[in-house]
Amino acid sequence: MNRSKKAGSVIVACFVGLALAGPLLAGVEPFAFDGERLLTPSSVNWLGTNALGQDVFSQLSYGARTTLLIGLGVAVLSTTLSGVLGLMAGYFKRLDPLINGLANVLLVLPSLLLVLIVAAFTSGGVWQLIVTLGLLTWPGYMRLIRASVLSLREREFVKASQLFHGKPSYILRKHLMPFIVPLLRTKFILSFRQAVTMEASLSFLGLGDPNQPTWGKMLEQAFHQTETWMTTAWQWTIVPPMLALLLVTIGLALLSEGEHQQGNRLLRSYSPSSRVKLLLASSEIAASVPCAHSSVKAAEQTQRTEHCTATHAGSDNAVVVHDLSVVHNGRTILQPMSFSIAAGSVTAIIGESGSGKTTLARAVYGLLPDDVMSGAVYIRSGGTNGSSETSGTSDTSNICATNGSSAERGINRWVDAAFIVQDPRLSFNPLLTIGQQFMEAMQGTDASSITVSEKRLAAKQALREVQLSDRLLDSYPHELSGGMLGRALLALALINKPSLLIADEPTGALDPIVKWEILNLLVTKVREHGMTLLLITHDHQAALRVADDMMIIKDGQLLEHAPAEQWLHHPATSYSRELQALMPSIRRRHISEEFKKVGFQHREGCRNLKKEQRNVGRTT
Amino acid sequence: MRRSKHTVTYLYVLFFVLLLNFVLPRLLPGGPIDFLEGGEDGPVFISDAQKVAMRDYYHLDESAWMQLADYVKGIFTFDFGQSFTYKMPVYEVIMNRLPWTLLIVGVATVLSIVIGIVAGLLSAWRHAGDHDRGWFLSMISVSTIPDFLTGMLFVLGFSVKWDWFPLGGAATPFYTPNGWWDLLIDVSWHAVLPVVTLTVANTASIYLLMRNEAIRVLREPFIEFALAKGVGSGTILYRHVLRNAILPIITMVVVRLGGLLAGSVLVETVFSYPGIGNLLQEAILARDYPLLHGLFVLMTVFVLLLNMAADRIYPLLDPRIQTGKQGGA
Repeated sequence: MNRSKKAGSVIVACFVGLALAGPLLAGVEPFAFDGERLLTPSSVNWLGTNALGQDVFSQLSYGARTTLLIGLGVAVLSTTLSGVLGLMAGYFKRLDPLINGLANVLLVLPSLLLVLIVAAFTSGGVWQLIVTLGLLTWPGYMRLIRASVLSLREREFVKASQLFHGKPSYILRKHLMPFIVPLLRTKFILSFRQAVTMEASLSFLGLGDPNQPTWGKMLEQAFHQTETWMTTAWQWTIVPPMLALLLVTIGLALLSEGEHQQGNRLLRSYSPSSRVKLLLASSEIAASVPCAHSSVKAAEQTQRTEHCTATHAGSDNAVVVHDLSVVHNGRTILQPMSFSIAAGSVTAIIGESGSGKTTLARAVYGLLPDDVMSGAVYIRSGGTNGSSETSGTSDTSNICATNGSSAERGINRWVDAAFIVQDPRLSFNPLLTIGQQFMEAMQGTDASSITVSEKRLAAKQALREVQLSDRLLDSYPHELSGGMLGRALLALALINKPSLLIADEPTGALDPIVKWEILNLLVTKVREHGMTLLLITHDHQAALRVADDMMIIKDGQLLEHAPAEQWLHHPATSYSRELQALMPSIRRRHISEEFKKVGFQHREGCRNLKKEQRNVGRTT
Repeated sequence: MRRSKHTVTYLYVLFFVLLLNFVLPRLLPGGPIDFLEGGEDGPVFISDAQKVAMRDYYHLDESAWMQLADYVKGIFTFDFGQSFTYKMPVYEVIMNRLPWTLLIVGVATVLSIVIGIVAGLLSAWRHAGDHDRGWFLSMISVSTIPDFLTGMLFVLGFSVKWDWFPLGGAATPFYTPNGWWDLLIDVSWHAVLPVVTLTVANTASIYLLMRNEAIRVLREPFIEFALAKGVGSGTILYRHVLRNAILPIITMVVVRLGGLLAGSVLVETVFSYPGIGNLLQEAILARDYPLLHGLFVLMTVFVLLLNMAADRIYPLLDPRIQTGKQGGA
């Protein structure tokens, strides 16, 4: 029970207490004209008297009784109707059109209008109000209950009970009711509140029961007395019933809303994480190495493993990850890990569901908030001006210049790196055309001077590159098939020529044939543009087929990071062997043969040193 | 399919209200006249002339079927008869009052939609913290307060205690303004409190709807994808979250507009504002049946038109529905 719910309960309990005990304490009849007019509060008249000389406290406490009666009456009637009709409409197909149709008709008109129509032609009595409100306010929750029953009806336990010839009344009572009860509880409180408000409103309009003391009526009487406004009388004639009404409605609201729990916090940062930085054209991993010591060679000698990464950051590495770990709500999602990924390579990240693959990908791309993430990620800058073709010499010449000004520059999303996720059908905003979503992605480029038509031209070009018609720019996502969207997504990822592409199960939601097609296209394009690909996948065979390097992740730990061939033939951990055992042997042989055919030209340079570095990563 | 189904519902609603209007007064014990004379709450006094007018109005000397025919004919010719209290055709009485209601309800509607949607959107954006929780609970509290209470609070505070705004009415009585500018100031001065009251009452519920919907949209994968694309927060909120979240909101907001119209009964009574809500209250108290009949039909038709408008607007904003129709699907 949280605080708001507690507050609500206390208020409602006070109100019930007033309704039950108040009239016994009051001593005076609410309509007795005993006192003087407009007496100030005293020991005799606790809250003074109104313009007719009636005791305000007595009226207030009897009014609480009326309010309680009406609230309970309406809540019981309306909740019962909602529950019974909802269960019947959901369970018996024949009754459904009738009940649902009636509900629709009642829902169109505001209930105040309906109540006014009835109240206008009849004399307003308490019981009449209860019946009217009860009969008019059931449809909203009836529909919720009906929808819930409709889905429950198809569930196994209901089907099983039907097979055993369970009577509908039995099934409804034993199997469906437990699911409906929370809804009914909320509905009860809501109806109670509605009834209190409605009664007060009607009384205030002068349409209430003339023989019952109610809060609305007290307000109405006081409101239409000019003396109320001329003197201070409003302090005891208007404020008490007003406060009572306010407190009861708010208390009831807190009571029902207190149940709503705060949803889980989304692990997402709206701006690029500051822990993800650009890998400077030529050198350092950590800003701790000052620029003045540009004698990189010296550093190399002292920190052998690290300097390899460092020296090759400019020419060979696209991603360098340093002591990256993710902790959320005291739970470690990613254990500290360090690794680097060679530029132009395809690295597959493999692991079970929940092993932290996606978290790793999101962390590398800087989608996680800073406070859950520690360590650092460096990504080589991309885009048309910072592409991997930049020569080594120019790099070294401007080490210090770039270092001074933008050593800690964050990445430019979609320009330096791009990130595509599971389902292409869910990745596109359904309300924007493909073209509009292309334009958006091109806004991040440095060349902001390019015009809309140029962007459009570039988008068309990108679409043609993945064998899609450029007319698709004006289509909405729902008009395209999953495979087409997959291609479009790919085109979108390539549009700014990022140096790194992170693909989180890019084909996970597609059917097998389209899956292969998209994956092949993805790898072809990545190789064609000399980009680096970080591919997260469940599909070990696909991973082996396309990847140069494999990373195995289990329970948030980086178990292995090795060239694909080496991993296949000499897996370092038992977990890897288990994974491999799951693959059909035929496929395995086929893959091995394929590996012989494919050369590994991409990764000759720093292979040995890189291995060492991986070992460091594994042990940390 | 969808639309025709709705239209049928609306026709049923219209039929239902008209039937209520026809049957209820005739079902009263002893008919409307006896009911009024013997009514428990004595203040209603009717003269013989009024009785004649009433008998005339209801065609009580004719058969039930003839009464029904006359009734239906009256509806289609906007002829709701002569108001008992105003001695004028109902149609004219309503038309005199309608602009005032449209003024305050219209302004309050625009304000509450804008404020509610912006606040809901921002609140969803900051969904993470306790800050939002407090804001959320206070909005829930505000949304439950009956609007006449809010109105009374304002009257107590701003008119009685501090005397900043007039107690009621739509314009200062017996005041001859110098030109349209003074008139405008006088009218807006009087409209402030009613508009604020209606806005407060309506904003909270729109805020709550918008907040829930925006939180749902923010969890969609395409929002994460847009973030990954490097789209700025402003653009994400406006183009991605707002446009997607507002679709389901529209229907609900429009339905609430109908409620606002009916809700004006209370607010106009608090501020003695001369709109149709106040007129409705007077008509109910005075048992002015022709006037009541006219008002109920007007309000019902208004609500139905709003609902139909919402059904039309929805496909315009959602490309998925539009093309589905073109394709004949």
